[in-house]
Formats: sequence, structure tokens, C-alpha cells
Amino acid sequence: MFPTPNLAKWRGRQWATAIVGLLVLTLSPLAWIQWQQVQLLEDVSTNQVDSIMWQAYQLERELSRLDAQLHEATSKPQEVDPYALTERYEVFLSRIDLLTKIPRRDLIEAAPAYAAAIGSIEAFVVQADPLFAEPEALIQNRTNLTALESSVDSLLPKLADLTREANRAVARFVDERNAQLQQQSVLVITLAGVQSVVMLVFVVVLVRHIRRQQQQYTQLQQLSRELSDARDQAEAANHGKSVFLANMSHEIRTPFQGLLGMLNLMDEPNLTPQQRDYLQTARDSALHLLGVLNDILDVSTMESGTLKLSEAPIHLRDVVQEVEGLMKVAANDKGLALQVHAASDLPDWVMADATRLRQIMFNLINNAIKFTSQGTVTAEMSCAPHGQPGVVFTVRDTGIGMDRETVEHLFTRFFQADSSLRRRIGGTGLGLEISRKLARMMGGDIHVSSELGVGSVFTVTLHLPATTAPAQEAVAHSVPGHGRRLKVLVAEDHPINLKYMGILLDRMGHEAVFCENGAEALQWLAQQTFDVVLLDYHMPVLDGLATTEAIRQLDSPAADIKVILVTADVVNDTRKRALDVGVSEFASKPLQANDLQRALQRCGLLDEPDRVNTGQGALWTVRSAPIPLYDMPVHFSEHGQRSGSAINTAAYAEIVSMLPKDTMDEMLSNLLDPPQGTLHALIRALEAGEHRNTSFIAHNLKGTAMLLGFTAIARTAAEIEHLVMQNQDLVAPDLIAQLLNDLKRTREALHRHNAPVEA
Amino acid sequence: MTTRRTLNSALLLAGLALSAPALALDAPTTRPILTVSGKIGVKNAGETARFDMKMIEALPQHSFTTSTPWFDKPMKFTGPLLADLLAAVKASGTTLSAVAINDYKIDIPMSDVQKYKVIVARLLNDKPMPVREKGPLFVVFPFDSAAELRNSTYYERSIWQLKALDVQ
Repeated sequence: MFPTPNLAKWRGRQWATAIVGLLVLTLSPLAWIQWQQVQLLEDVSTNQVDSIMWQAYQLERELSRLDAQLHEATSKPQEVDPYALTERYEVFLSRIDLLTKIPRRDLIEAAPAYAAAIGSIEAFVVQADPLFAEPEALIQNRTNLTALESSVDSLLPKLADLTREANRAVARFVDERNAQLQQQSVLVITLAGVQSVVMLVFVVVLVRHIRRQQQQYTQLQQLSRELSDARDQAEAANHGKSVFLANMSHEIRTPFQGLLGMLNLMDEPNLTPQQRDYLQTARDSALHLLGVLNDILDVSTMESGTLKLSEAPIHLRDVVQEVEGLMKVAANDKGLALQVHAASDLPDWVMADATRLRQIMFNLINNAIKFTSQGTVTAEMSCAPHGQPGVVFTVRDTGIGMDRETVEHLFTRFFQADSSLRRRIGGTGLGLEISRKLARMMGGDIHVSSELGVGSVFTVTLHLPATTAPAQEAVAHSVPGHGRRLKVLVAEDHPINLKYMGILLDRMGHEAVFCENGAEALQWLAQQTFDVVLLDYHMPVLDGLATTEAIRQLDSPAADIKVILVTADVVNDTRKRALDVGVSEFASKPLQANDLQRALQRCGLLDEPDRVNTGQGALWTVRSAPIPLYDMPVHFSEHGQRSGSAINTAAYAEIVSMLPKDTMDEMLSNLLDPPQGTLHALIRALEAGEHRNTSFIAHNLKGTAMLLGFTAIARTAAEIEHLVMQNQDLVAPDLIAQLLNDLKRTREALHRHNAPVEA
Repeated sequence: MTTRRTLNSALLLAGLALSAPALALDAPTTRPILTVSGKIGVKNAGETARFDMKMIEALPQHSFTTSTPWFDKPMKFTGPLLADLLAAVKASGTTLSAVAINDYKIDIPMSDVQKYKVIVARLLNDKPMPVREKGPLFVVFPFDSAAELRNSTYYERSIWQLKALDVQ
């Protein structure tokens, strides 16, 4: 077959050349043949070829008629018009030129018959012309007439020969022309054949080319589909990973709170220095791990696109002070001086996400401390220069500094300034990336300038719009009950908690109705209308989730009531199950005013956010969002009380300040005094080996003890609850001894705490 | 078709009637060379009208030069328009049946006479034509003036040695 040219590389001009070339090649011979045929036909028509025979015949015929006329004149001279005789002769003469001057006379000129005939005619004309010139004389001269007649008679056979010769010549010409036409026809057919073959080849090449292109197109489409699928899968996998990472970080972090809490509870005065050191190391490690987890969680939520800033008015100076207070410890630990300033012209209140703002500040100051071995770390919060909106936060250190290349890669993920420092200093390498992203989310950015060996300057610009003080400031000391008064149904089985919540709600200016379990709550709902229901998670008869389910299935408007679940359970799964059955919001146990306030706000039950009836208790004041434990910087090693006391005196003092004395006494009695005190109830349950009851009472004891700041008792109760939940064998005597020991220490601590007051 | 031809003829005849110089036709004084018969309004010899060369010469003369199949080169022909000749005898028909001295015979549609400048030539290159040179009268179409004339139909209608016209 033909070598196939690579048609795919042909451009328009090449195609045009090929097609034109092919057309010229095949059509020009055809055109030439057509031209030849046209010429031939024209030749036939203009040259009157076929009339050669006709003219020869006419010549012969006119001679015959002249012969007849002469014969008549010879026999009957008086009957013949002499002019008609001459005219007959003239007609004959006129025929001679028609034959001899015909365009294609060459066809017969060569024939001997032609020469003989023309010669004889010329001889006859020479003889006849003078005679016919005088017709009347001729008609009278019989001799001349006879002579002419005999000449004509001898001429006739020669003209007959000429006629036959002309006939043959025409026949030859027709043969010749037919042969010519035939030849041309063969040529035309051959050319048409060649043309067809060439076209066929061309079509075959084209078809193959098109087919190949179609195949390639199909393959490309296939490839494109596969790539697209692969991309989708990769994206889905990546997204899935981010979501998984976010979930996992959250899942890990939640029990971490418990771990840290337990570590804090473990801190007792009677620990040996070595134990104390171990405990401190464990706590530092846990806090560090928590920081790493927080970084990963932040990055994964940023990547899954779910990170949102929750902006609220914050007091900028307070935030700066908080950060300073927390970071001072870390700086002091390293022997560095930390100076944090807030410029005097800063706006008091700005709209910002306090948590995220603190995160940026912690991160930068923390980095500065990390990479500075001696000297000073200076941080300053000031207004943006040149009257631009927003604030600038600058962190300056006298640390190791960075070269240009390091600065360029600084914000890249997992990058650390000095990889040799990594093991020594630690960290995820995600901090700056997170900070920059957060800064950009706040309408700003982070810039860095650094000099190796001299130090670095990190500059954060943030677009934080100034705002007015939130309403709570203005009403902070107003009359209680000024806010919206809600009618609250509380289902709580523990009498102390019940009492506490009653006081809390009263202080917040709400009206509370109490019941001991979910079943009673449903009865109340059937009788009265409430704004909101607070349900304890653990309750006898009908627990929080079951009650919520029952409420949602009610056949009255009460089915749509807001339900806030109060629980110490921090596991995500519990929250998910709760949301599934229709819980509106959560508040953590022990219940705090802020928590409850936020839960009510999120339920949409308080018209104006932050319009809290603060009363006189400092506990209620909401200035800026509290710092959750996991938002603490990793280096915050001084967290928690290190007193080792059985009670948290601060927490205890708070609750004492909040509750009336008789209520407080009753609560203490209900908790600690035999035989009805919850602690003693737990001891009895342990003795009786009633697992279910033990777990329930331990849970209650833990809640109340935490509320009152009785850390030792709370710790032991939590341990018992945990052991029961894990279905582990309880060594009852040990646990009872522990509880009694805790009771003893708590009483001693209470005594110490109260003594100076009473004195 | 027939209607249109009739109409054409009528128009032609109307034109001829208006332009006719005389109603009568003199008798030939020399040997007659052309006899017109058939549907004619003017006669001078029984049912026919005869012309001698003088009468032909007396009609308005026209000339053109054209190439023909019968001569190697273009020739000049001179003579009266066939239309004028027919007008002189008030011819009223659709077809002319022309006959030559050599007994050649051809029908010429009357429409040709109106449509083309057909002349009855008596001079070839300004010289009288003897019978031996296709004379004395030669009906010639102006072949060079129209392509549609250059085919055998009109070559056949160019009759030479014309001796008689029968108007039908």
C-alpha cells in the first residue's frame, strides 16, 4: 500500500495545494480532450466536410441537365429559350467553384479522378464559353451544339467518377473522425479511471486519517474522564482526610480535657518532690500535645472550609493584658524579659473573634520566646499608621533571626526556621501558616523582617473595626430583672444542684419550676407553658435524651419548646445522639452562668445578645469570652492550682459569695453529713455492690463536688464513676477509705478556709 | 405561437402598407429575373409580380460585409432588404417559399424578414454577380451580426441564384 503521509500535521495551505494539484492533474487532460472535440465539431460545421459529396453530385447533375437542354436544343431549336440554355450553362459553371474552393478540398484533390475531371471541365469551359456568350447564335448553329453535346457526354463519366471519389473521401473522413473520437473516448475513460483511482486513494487515506483521529479523540475523552474521576477521587479523599482529621482532633481533644483535669486533681501537697516533678512533666507534655492537636484541628478545619470567625465586641486592652499575663510565665521560665504595650490611641472596643485574635498573638509571642535565648521580646498593639483602619500588632525579638531564604519559606506548611532546632524546640510547624490564614480572614496579613543573629520583627495588620461598648457595660449595674424574664422548667434529680440552679436562674432574672425527672417534666409541660426546658443528662425514671424524645413527640405546641441539655459528658457521640433526638442546645456541668446565658442566646430566647442581668456577682460578668483550656498556649505551664489542697478555695469562695449562708450549709450537709449525705450514700452503695446505683450516685457527687470546688472528692467520685462505666472490679474497701480520707481532708480545708473569716 | 406570429405579420404588413411608395408596380422593361407569387397585393403579370434588375436596383439599397461558409474571407453584399421587396408587392403571409435557378428550394419564415436585416444581394464586393458566381440575386443573412444565425438552418435559408418567391 501507499506510505500514508502524516495528515495530522498538514495545514490549510498544504491541503489546498494537494487538492488543487490533484484537480489539475486529472482535469487538465480532460479539458484538453474536450477542447479537441469542440475543435473537431467546429471543423465539421464550418468546413462543411460532408458537403463535398453533395457538391460533386450537384456538379454532375447540373451537367446532366445541361446535357438534356443541349439535346433538346439540337432536336428542337425553336422550342428552346437561348437565354435559358446559357443560364443552364452558367448554373453548371457556378457549381465548379463550390467544389474546387470548398475548405476541405484536400480530401479529394489528391485523387486522380479529381485531376482528370477538373482538367476536362477546364477544357470544356474553354471550348464552351465563347459559344454560350452569344446564345441566339448558338441555338442556330447545329454544328456547335452537337460538338458541345458530345463534349458534355464525354465529361459526364468523369464527373460520375468524381462523385464516387468524393463519396469515398467523405467516408474516409468520417472513418478518420470516428477513429479520432474513439481514441479520445478511450483516453477520457482511462483518465476517468485514473482520476477515480486517485480519488479512491485519497478517500482511503482520508478515511484512515479520520478514523485514527476518532480513535485518538475517544482515547482522549477516556483519558479526560479518567483524569477527572481521579481528580474527583483525590479531592474527595483529601476532603475526607481533612474532615477525618478535624473529627479525630476533636475526638482526641475532648478526652484530653479530662486527662488534664485529672492531672490537676492529682496535684496534692503530700506528693514527694519527685512525684511532683513527674506530674508537672506529664501536665506539660499533655498541654504540648493539646497545642499540637489544636494546630492540626485548625489546619484541617481551614482546609475543609468550615472555619468561621465568630465576631463580637471585645475590649482590646483586656485582651492584650490577658495575653501578657499568660505569656509572662513562659518568658520568665526562659529568663527573658517580655514587654507588652497597648498604644494609648487604641480604640477601646473592636469587632473581632477574641479566641482567634489571641491565637495569633500567642503564636507570634510564643515563637519569639522559642527562638530567643537571651534578651527581650517586645510586643506592641497600635493603630494602623497613616489613618488607615485597623490595628497593627508587632512582635520584636533579639533572637537568632533568619536569613533571606528562610524568610521566604517561613509561611510554608511544616517549615521550621532551623531544622536542627526542631527536636529541641518542638512544634508542628503549622503555627505561622494558621496565623497568616487567620490574619487574612480578618482582612489583614502578616509580614516579617529579620536579620540573622540580630532578631526578627513580625508585623500583623488586622482590619478590626472599632465599635461601641456592648450594652452589658451600660447596664452592668442596673436593677436585676431588667432583661427578658423567661419561664424555665428544670428537671434535675440532685437536690444540691437543684438548689444551685434555682439561685442561678433567679439571679439571671428568670422564673424556674423544678421537677426531679423527665416524667415529671412531661406532666408539667402538659399543664403549663414554658419558654425553655433544662434537662439533666443523667436522671432516674426518664433521662435527658428519652425526655427530649418524648417532648418532641407531644401533640401540643410544647413539642417545639427549646430543650437545653445539661451534661458533663463531653464525648462528641453523645452530642450527636442528643442532636438527633431534638436537643436544641447544650450547657456543660457544673452549670455556669455564662454557659447558660450563651445557650439561651443560641436558642434565640434572649432578644439582645450580651444583655445579661449581671447582678452583683463577679461570676456573671461577661467582658470577653473566657479562655477555654485548649486555647491556652502550649507554654502555659502554670495552669491550675498547685496548692495541692483538697479544695479549690477560689471556686469555693465564689460559690460561698453567691449562695445565702443557710443554703450553703444545707448543701454542705446534704453532701458531707452522715447518714444522708451523698458521699455516705455512695459509700453504702459501694458496700452493697449496686453497680448501677453506685455509678449514678458517683456522678451526682462528682457534679456537686466540682461545683463547690471540692477537688479531692470530685476526683475520687469521677474515678469511681469511670471504673463502674468500664465494668471494672471495684475494690470497695480501698475506694471507701479514699472517700473517707477525702472527706477528712475537705473538712480540714474548709476549716482552714473559714477560720480566718470567722476570726 | 400562431397568434403571435399572426400578430407579427399584421404589424409588419401595417408598417409595409404605410411606407409603400406606390400602389402600382410597373411591368419589367428588361428580362425578368425574379417572380413573386402567392398572397401579394400588387401584381404586374397576371397573378404574379415580376422584377427585372432595374426594378431591384430601384429599391432602397443596403450593404454589409459578413463571412459566409461559401467564401474564404468576409465579403461585401449589396442589395435591397427582402422586407422592402415584399412590401413593394404587399405580401401578406407567414412563409416565403424561395426557389433557385438550379431548382434549390427552401422555406423562409416571414419572421426572419422582420427580425434580421436580410438583403437580396445583387452586388458582391460592389460587382454584379453572374449566374456562375451565384448571381444574379443572393439572399444573405447578416451572419456576423448574430451568433444564432451561424448554423445550418440559416445557411440553408441563404439561397443563391434566386429566381422566385411564393408567399404563403
